[in-house]
This record gives sequence, C-alpha cells and structure tokens, in this order.
Amino acid sequence: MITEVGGESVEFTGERVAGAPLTWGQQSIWHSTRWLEDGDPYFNLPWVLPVHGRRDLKTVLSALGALLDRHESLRTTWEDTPRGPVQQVTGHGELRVEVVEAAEVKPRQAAATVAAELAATGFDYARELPLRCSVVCDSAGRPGALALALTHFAVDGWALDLLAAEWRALLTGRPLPAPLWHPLDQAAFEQGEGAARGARSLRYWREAMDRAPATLFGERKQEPERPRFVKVGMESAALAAAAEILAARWAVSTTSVLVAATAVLLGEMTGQRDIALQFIVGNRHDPRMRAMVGTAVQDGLFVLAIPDGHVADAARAAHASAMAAYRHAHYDPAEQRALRDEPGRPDLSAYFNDVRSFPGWPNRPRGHPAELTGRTRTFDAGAWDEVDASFFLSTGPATDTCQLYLLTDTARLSRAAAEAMLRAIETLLVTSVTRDVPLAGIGELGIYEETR
Amino acid sequence: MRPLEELRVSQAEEPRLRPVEEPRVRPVEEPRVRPVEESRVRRRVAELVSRSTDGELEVEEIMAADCSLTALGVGSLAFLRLIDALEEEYGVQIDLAAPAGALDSLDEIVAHLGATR
Repeated sequence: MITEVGGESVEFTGERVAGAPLTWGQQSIWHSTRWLEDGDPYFNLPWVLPVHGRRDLKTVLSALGALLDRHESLRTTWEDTPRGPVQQVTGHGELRVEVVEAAEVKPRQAAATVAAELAATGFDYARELPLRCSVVCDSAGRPGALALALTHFAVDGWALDLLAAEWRALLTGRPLPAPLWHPLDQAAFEQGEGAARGARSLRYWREAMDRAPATLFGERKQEPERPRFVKVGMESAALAAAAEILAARWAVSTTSVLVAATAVLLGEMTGQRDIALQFIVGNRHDPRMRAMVGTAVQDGLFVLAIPDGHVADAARAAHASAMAAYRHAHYDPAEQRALRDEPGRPDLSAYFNDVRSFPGWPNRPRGHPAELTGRTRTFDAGAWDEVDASFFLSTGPATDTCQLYLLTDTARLSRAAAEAMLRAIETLLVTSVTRDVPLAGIGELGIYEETR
Repeated sequence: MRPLEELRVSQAEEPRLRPVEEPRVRPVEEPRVRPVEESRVRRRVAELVSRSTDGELEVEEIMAADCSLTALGVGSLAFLRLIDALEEEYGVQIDLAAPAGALDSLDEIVAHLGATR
C-alpha cells in the first residue's frame, strides 16, 4: 500500500541563466523523440535513489535541492524554435515533490513502483522541469528512498551514476567540488574547437559505411508476427562465465567477446562476410564529458570484416573495430543523418548495446561454463508494432548472470530464430572455452539451424 | 634514481636481444640517440597510461609488463582516454580504423609514435 501523505516544494538556485543550441547528445535524443508521438514516455527514465541511514525529510529535500543547484541539466527546458531546438537553463524555481508512505513493503521496493508511475507520462519538455520526484517513507514516516523519473534529454546512464555518487555524499553533508562542465559548455565546445572532432568522426562514418554490406538480411522476408517486433530475453550464467574466461584469454573486453559472437553468427546466418552494427556509445572518455550531468549517448558504427581463422581471431578483430566505433561516436547528428541518407548508403538497422557499467559479472556463480548451461532460461520480453531497427541485441544490468535481449523484426527474423540466436551465442562461447572453434566450422556445431 | 638504473639495464641488455646484423642496417648515428629518446618516451607513455586508468595501474607496473595493455587491465574507456592524451601530447593523429590491435602495448605505441613523427 502506498499512500500520499503530503507535498513539499524544493527551491533551487543557479548562477547561470542562458540559452543555447542543443548539444550533439541532446540533438540525438531530440531526433528520436520526433520519431515518436508527442507525449510518448519512451525516453523517460524511472529511477530510485536509496536513503541510507536515519535521515529526516528536511535533509533529504535539501540534498535534492543541492543536486538541482549543482547541475544545470536538471533545471533545463528544451524548445523548438524557428532557428532550431534550443536548451534553456533556469536560474531559480521550485520542484514540487510528493511525500508518500509505504505500508507492508520496503520503501525502496515501493519507490520502484512510484518511479514507474512517474515515468509513465511524457514530459512537456518546453515547460516542465526534466525530473519528477516523490519521497517514499516507511510506516514510521522516515524517508527510505527517492523515486524519480527523468527525461533522457537531461541524463543518460552515466549521468545517473554520477548523481548516485553525489547523492550519498550530499545526504551525509560531505562537501563536493562544484561541477565545471555543463551541457551549455559542451554545446559551445561543439560549435567551436570540438567541431573538428565531429568532422573527423564523420570521415570515419563515411569510410566505415563503404565497408558495410548494403543490407544485412538481403532479400530475406517472411510473414511477420503481430505485433511485428518482438523481444526475446536470455539469462545465462554459463555465458557470463565463458565471456569472462575468453576475454581474459584473448586480451579483449567481455563486450568485444559478445559482439564478436553476435557478428560471427550473423555472418553465418546471412552469408555476409562483413557485418555492420550500430553501437549505442556513452561518449564519456573525454575528461570534461566524464563529469558532466547531461546526455552524451550517440550512435557509433562498428564494421567487422570477419577474418579467417578461429573465433579468437574474430574477437581480436572485433575488439579493434569496436574501439574505432567508440572513438568516432561524437558528431553533429544532423550531418550524420545527411550522410546516412545519401543514395547508395547501406542499411544500418542492426544495433548492439552493452548497458553494463561493470566490466564483467562479479556476482556470477563459479564453475565451468559447460556445467552452468542447465540454468540458462529464455523468455519473451515484449512486443511492439513499430521499432526503428531490424535487429537489436542488448545486455542487461545484472551482475550475477549475463542478460541478453534480442529484439527482431519478425519479417526478417522469426521469434524462434531470435531465441536460437541467443542460444547460439551461448553455445559458441561456451564451446570456445574448451576448444578454439574455427570460423569455417561453425556450421558443424549445429547451433543455429532454426535461424535459417 | 630509478629511471637511471633502468636505463642502464635496458641498454645493457639490448645488444643481446638484437640480431647481429642490425647495426649495419641502421644509420650510424641512430643507435646512440634512439635508446635514450625511446626510453624517455616509453616512460612518458607509461605515465599517460597510468593517468588514463586514474592511477589504478602504476607507471613501474606498466613499464615492466610484457603483455598487452588490455591484458594488463586497461579498459576500453581508459584506452580511448590514452589515445586522446597521446594525440595531444605528441601532436599526432592516431587512426584506430587502420589495422588496429597493433597499438595495444607500450612498445607498439612507442614504435608508432617514432614512426609518425
């Protein structure tokens, strides 16, 4: 039971009041939201911040106010104008915060429900602050968690991690250095000296698109399901174990191991020798971007020429290609779209997104991967009428098992084929732990028959 | 004191590792200049690697490693930070799209910097 017990308002003040064009990261989200209906909540992020220790409501509200004071992105609105979309930072205002009480459930659990409710309706980007918030108290009235919904314009996963770290400090009253870099600064950088970096990224895209196959699935077409786009999930501790072992053995990241397996199997399935995948790239390696609360995520382009040799060779090549893709994901999205829309450019509707913030799966069970495959399960994870992708493989955030999700356009790849593909990734990598599988011999593993 | 010692050790050892005919192939003045310069660059690159990992890897550890940077624990983000730092410090453009994987150890980076400057 969750009951509303009151409302509070949190005042905030910032030094700078200014408007500017959007950053490239914001433009990227802007374009995606244009693709959706107005008010679609797809780009809202529900989120929970735990309140550790015995803190009273005043302390919690004051910590929340400090977050708003510190980060311009949390007091920004976004608006379309005749000159294009602009971001506007507000200097002073207040955020309405509901206070709710959870009975019979822990505040943190209740907060997840409240956050999902807060995120269920779209933001009015031009008039509303980019976050909504409720304080969730226990039955004694003590704050246990903060439930939030934020728009992706204001934050990405990296920014949420930054805020979570600050939140702990602010609750205990630990002083924090003032943030030095905000989206306004980033926008100015991108219009100025950063422009060369963007141009260089686009030169890479041009060259990489030349290496990408015209279409991934070729003529392959079949009767789609309704809804047409389905997402299948898999949880595999065996895959987690295998990916960690192989990453160490081949001196690449676990991400590169997963992406190599995906590319190799896609190549096997489609007969293509070159596989192109768009990556969702965090764009946080620059020291200024690293500490910025804002959104920086953009698409990267990974193109792998599947080498001769073994899966290990594919993984090393994939690791090098992935580095190039990460490095060239910071650019003006309008220019990148113009480039993609040139006649004769390849179909880039296949995606890969590793959402994990840890390099491996620190809480996975021990044991040989082959002994863990019995625990693997696959499941349905949703269906949509329209998605702007034909193939979208992503990981989940779990640290005890490798969560993989594959969303497919069933006109290209059936639900059964999607599930077989996930299983095939597991089988290929678990097998690779015991013997190096030759790329020419993958068909003999008999692991992807259903995907044909 | 440490850098000097190391310099002496690496110079003392080098002739044994090199093929006998190499001195004839190289320009005469090079062997005397290169090892000192290389050793200085090598240390500086190791410092940049260390900084890219926020000090998680120490300079000496990086200098002593005989494996790739990835194997040493330099993650993707740290690697990208390193490439940026190298470009800034040495005024070079490093093209990761070119036959890559070849920049994953201290020696490869030092060699690459030597070749591009």
